Amino acid sequence: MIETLYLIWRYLVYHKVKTGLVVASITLILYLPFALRVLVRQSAGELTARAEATPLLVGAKGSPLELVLNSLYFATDTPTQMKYEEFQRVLDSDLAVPVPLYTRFRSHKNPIVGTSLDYFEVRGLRLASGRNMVMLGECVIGSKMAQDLNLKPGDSVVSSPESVFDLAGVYPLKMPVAGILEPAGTPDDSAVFVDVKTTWVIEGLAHGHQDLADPSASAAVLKTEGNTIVANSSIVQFNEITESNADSFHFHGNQIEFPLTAVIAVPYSPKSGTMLQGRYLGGEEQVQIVSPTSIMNSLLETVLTVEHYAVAAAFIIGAATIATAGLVFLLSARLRAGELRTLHRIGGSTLRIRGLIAGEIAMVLLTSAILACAMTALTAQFGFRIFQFILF
Amino acid sequence: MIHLSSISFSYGRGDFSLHIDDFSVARGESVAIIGPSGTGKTTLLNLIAGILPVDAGNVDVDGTSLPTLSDKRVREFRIRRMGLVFQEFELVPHLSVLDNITLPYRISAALQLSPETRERARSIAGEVGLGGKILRNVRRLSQGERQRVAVCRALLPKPDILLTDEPTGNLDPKSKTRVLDLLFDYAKQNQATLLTVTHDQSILNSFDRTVDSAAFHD
Repeated sequence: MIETLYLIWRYLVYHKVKTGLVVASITLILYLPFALRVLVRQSAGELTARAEATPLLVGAKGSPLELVLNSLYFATDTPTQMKYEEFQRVLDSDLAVPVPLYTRFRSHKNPIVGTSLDYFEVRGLRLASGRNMVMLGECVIGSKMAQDLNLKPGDSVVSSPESVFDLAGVYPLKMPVAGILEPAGTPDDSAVFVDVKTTWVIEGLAHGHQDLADPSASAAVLKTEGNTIVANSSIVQFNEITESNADSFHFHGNQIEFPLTAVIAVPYSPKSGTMLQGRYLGGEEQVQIVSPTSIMNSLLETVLTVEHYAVAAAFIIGAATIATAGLVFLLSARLRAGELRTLHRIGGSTLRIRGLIAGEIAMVLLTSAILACAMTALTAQFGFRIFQFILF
Repeated sequence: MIHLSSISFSYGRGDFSLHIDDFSVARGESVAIIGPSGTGKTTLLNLIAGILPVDAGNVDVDGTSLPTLSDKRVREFRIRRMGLVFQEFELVPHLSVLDNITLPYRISAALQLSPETRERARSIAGEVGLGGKILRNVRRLSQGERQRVAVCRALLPKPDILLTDEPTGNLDPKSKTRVLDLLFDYAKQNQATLLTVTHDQSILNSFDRTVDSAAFHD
């Protein structure tokens, strides 16, 4: 047995390029369907977990999937909007804890999530350094963003203009980083979290400027009519909220009309959740309430169907690869006819010689299987993190 | 003693047949078989070695009738008693010199490869000038060196009978002398029978007897 294994080993080592190619081909073809399955299962688990941590979502009528993807993954550039009164409506229902979301803006490529401190509790996010945002204009950022941009508490991030051609658009707001979150392995790692009011400042619904009653602003004053002062455009507008200018920031308009992209509703009980959902069934409703779990499950069914097709395709390619490998072995046996005849002549039995050939094939298959298993195990261990790193 | 009687053999294609009424080689005798190509010289060696089965007749080697033995027994008999050197050396290209010499021990369950056997293989290789190339792949050897490896492989199991097919074909004079010396020295020291197929007229004087293969046909 040892002698046969030795001869097999010598043959495979001598033909290392051919052996390597065949092993690599078979390994890949064994690995692909398993890796795909592992990744899809892990992704599905991750998607479901995030959806399950978000019991109900209230958002503007439209695509429920778009609402879920935007609220859970901040994936939409132009999410549909609803009024802040919907937040108040959930709060007033006394059936769930509402968490506001306004995800219209970005800082570079990172989404700015306007929310409340309840969001961190709902998502189980903890601070790695610094403190929570307590002041208008402050932000807490995800771990990946902090790592990528080398940010620490005390640094600042700036909101990006929605369009470089929109000169009259919203002012960029410089936001000091109050804290950095621990890694969560979710899209939260790449997000900038601010109070929802800060996003309204970015939107231009609130602003701060120099005090017009101050003598230094006299050049900007056009006229004074009672308590109303009219100024020209030379007035200095603040693009950063600091302790000294925070008092000058004020909202124009009715806050109840201000925009949100969604409200996460965390019902007090399953019954409360059902009752809350029932309140949005009216035909005249301008908003919808969805269960992210059921929406993600529908999406996953599609993904799993695609996965089945992909696995089936991999099996067909695998069969073709195995057939090609078989052809390689067959041609190899033909080329080795003289060598095999020699082995027979010097005392090798037909059984032993066939065993030698079978052993070579088995060794290649075994090596491929071991490599494929190892790669699948590595994929199960690290693949999803790499996947996340690429995606988020 | 090797004794062939009333041998009849054909390859089945009908274009070649061999008939030997009576042919004997005494123990320790060296015999050269000569004759034109295609007259059955190599076939004769294969019949004696039991590689080819006779259609009729008997091949008797030291009292053992090979046609009466099973394939397994014939193979074991061949491994233990006979050393074969083939026309084209028939070395295994992916193995080293040492591995080729010890190959019969690795491929046959009838032989056990011991450290002593391995050491003897090194010793034989050293005797024929391959000591420094023992771990070299046989593809990197000259024709003469390859032939010497083939001879070493045949001698390692200490056979009683040496069957060699054109052992000096395509060799330069120096290599030719070296290979012949190796074969004859072994045969002499071990009282082994040497049966050699050759076209080389210059080596015939070294043998006890010369047989023309034309005698094996109708």
